[in-house]
Amino acid sequence: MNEQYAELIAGFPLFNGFTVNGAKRILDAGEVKDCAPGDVLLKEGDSADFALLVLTGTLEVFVERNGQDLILTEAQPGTILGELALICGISRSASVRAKEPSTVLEWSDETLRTLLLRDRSLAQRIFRQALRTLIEKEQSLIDELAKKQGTANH
Amino acid sequence: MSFLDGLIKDPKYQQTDPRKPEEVSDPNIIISPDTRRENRIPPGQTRTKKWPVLDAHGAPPVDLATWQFEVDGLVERPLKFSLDEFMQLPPVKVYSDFHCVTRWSRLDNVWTGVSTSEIAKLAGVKPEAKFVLALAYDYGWTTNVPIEYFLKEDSLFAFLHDGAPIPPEHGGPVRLIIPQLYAWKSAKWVKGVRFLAEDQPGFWEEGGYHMRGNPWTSGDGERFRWS
Repeated sequence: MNEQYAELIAGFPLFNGFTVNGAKRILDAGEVKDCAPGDVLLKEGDSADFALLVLTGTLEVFVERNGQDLILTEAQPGTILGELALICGISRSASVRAKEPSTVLEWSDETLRTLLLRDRSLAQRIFRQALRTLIEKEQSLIDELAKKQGTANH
Repeated sequence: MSFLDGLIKDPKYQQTDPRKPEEVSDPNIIISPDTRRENRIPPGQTRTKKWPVLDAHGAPPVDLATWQFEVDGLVERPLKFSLDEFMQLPPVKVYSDFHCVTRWSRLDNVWTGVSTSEIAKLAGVKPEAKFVLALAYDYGWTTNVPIEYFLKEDSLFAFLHDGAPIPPEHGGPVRLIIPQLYAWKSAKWVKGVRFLAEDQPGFWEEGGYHMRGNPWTSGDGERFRWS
């Protein structure tokens, strides 16, 4: 099974250039966890001590506001979740639950820090992905605001 | 930082500008050709006067009494040396610069050790050997090098840096030095080399680092196999 996950990881764009052996090291650094639909893996406001790499399935990123779930995005295999809270030392900014049977790789805070410090190439990729996600979110917020402003001006 | 701070905290701190190759007085020293470039700092690099420490796992315990250096793969005569035997081999000195893929370069280093071509000659490397895999003492760490870079005249297995034994954190007792490639190819705590017909990714290369790692090519140097 580990071999299959290693092949999966080597195929993710984030790990472009990794061989299966290289991916095994990433895999061995963490713990593989299976989750059932509805399992909540990260909870908004919780303190952060691990990050996730989605291996299979689909996860929902959501926040609860006024008693309702607001789905922010869906995370597909190859996506890292929860790393920003670790890097920035803040609590979880959103919750994550499995939408369907899924598998994730869980890295502890210490493991992620070690990976980032020792492997500059991986650090660069992870920061790049994290910042892109942030910028996309900011863009969509700006678009929303602009739309509202547009409506208000009419 | 005052002059003294530098000396006390870091005895390897470089207080002066790097020498030009023609200012190196030793007549027998091999001058690394990249030190003759007008701009000795490759693209995307910055000069450091310090000697930073980077490794994958920390310095491994190396017992000098049982230390061994093995040469195998595509050779006529597989070789094994103890540290004493290795030190008996004819030494060479190399004046070279050192370029780390994490974007720092340390200029003006003098390495003393055994020439890589001396090792290749003793082992009788077969003509079909096109790549070298360097093996190290830290938990199976390896790195791959094209044979033409391994055999450059400024490549060596070094045991002295600027005249002093290489400390464990910098890869002593013996480390590979390949000045013309990024320094992760200069395996610390080297314990042997294997000559291969096909290229085979080493430790960092399996994580997407470049198979060759030439700092001077393709705009920003050959750092990764992804971008």
